[in-house]
Amino acid sequence: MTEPRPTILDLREVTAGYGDEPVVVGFSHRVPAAAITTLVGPNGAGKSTLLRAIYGLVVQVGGRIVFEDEELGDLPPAARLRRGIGFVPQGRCNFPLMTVCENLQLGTYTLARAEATRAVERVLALFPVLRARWRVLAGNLSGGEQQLLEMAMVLETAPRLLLLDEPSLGLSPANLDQVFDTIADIRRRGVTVVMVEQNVEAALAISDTAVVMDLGRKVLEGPAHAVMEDPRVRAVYLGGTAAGESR
Amino acid sequence: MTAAGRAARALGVSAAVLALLGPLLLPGEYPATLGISIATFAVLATGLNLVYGYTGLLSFAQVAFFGIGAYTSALLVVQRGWSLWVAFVAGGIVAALLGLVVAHASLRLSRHAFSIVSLSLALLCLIVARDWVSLTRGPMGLPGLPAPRLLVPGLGAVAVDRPGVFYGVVLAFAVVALAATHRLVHSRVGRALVAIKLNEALAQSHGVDPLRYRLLAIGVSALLTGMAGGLFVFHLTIVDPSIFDFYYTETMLIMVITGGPGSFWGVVGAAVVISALPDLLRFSTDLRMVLYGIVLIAAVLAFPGGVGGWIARRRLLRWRRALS
Repeated sequence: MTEPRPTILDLREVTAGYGDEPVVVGFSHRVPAAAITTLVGPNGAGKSTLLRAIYGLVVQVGGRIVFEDEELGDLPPAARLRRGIGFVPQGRCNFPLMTVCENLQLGTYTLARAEATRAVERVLALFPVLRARWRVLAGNLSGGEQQLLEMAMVLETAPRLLLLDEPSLGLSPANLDQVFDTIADIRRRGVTVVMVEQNVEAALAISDTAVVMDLGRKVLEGPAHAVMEDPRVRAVYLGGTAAGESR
Repeated sequence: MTAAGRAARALGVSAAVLALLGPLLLPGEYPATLGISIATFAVLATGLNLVYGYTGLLSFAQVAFFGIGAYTSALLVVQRGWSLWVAFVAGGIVAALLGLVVAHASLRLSRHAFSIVSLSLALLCLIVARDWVSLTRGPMGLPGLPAPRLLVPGLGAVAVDRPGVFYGVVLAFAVVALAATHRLVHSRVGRALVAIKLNEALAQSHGVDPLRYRLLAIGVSALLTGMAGGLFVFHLTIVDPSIFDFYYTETMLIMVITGGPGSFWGVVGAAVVISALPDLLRFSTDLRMVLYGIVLIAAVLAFPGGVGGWIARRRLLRWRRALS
């Protein structure tokens, strides 16, 4: 895991936010290709904002975001999707009143028609559970299945970088395993994953790299297993016994 | 939705077939006149359904498209001597172009802005038709529109002057217009329209451009509505500012809302029933409109989501009972 991987996404001094006050401040990080990078940190640390900035959903006031050696500048989200970045936002983000079939077709609007059919077939091979639920309304799927559907919708465009904002939010433990197993599988297929997770232990177990954020800045980074062992991290997130020593 | 769609379709198809055959089987001119009205309103209501039911944009401009198609086609025939068969298509195109310009300007703000602007457009058209006397002859209108002639192989040119023949023409147009709309809403485009209505931000994040699809829906709706207007005034044989009357807006809205916005056959069925209703209630001249109102209130109370929505809910209930 220490073997250096090429950089797919280079964040240089990124400052981003919504109003006058930036939520992410001077954030620099190189995201290695074909690996899972997980952003952890307390509420309000700016993890989701950073992810949304990479997809062009928040105002980026400073710094540069370079994806595959090209600066993204102020490209709109749809253009970033075409360049190979996929984003699955936090919470439910499918069309609950449409069937699984219709939802999957909606993920293919940036593709040519013939390619769209192939894309649906490709994600169905990756998510066989969706084929079984083909004619079911997406709102009637379990939480885990809905999360898989949402990832499938984004994966249809074959992104090389997949951004996941809290994929385990609100899932039962059984569904949670299913979702994390799938994320690990997506990475094995060569897709780079950057995710934000509150479920630190389960997320870091499948991650290569971890980045700890607090108050909009990077406070720690390293191989996932090392970060998990870090006493400060254990104290804050895992309720470890090192709470007294860290402060 | 698909199961409910099938039931609504059965209802709509039977209502449509009834309307289709009625005027041909019944003697006299009256059934054909009623048939013309039904076929026209089926197109108007479907046009509004495309914009409001599928795309989620409340448009008050449908009557403007209808009237502009009517005036354009009448003026081209009377003043330029065009054939109606070309003129009514031109009427549709003029209506569609105006719709696209107005929608493009207002949709850049918001869908609410579109509603307000569409209402202003309808009111403005009424004023222009009344006050631009040199073109429209103002409140006098353009009376005595000539009966179109239709070239029938073997028969030569036939004057479409009897309601029965005119009904055939309007019916053929309505069938083509409805078939085109049906195809559109059940295509990739239709799916995108519904997705934009349900969750615009999410649709956009999957690369669907809301403005493009909305403009397409409005353009098609205005085109068909304008063409319907261009044909309909040649049945009336006069076009005057009352073609922009709020009565048309109101009737179209009643049809779409009672039929179920976003339900293709639900709205077609409602259009057939509601266009025929005032005439079916003719047995009581004094209470006719009172009864019409009562039927509408009852319909809204019984089917808050329209007939299409009601069928969808019943399916769901039956399904739940089967599961428990």
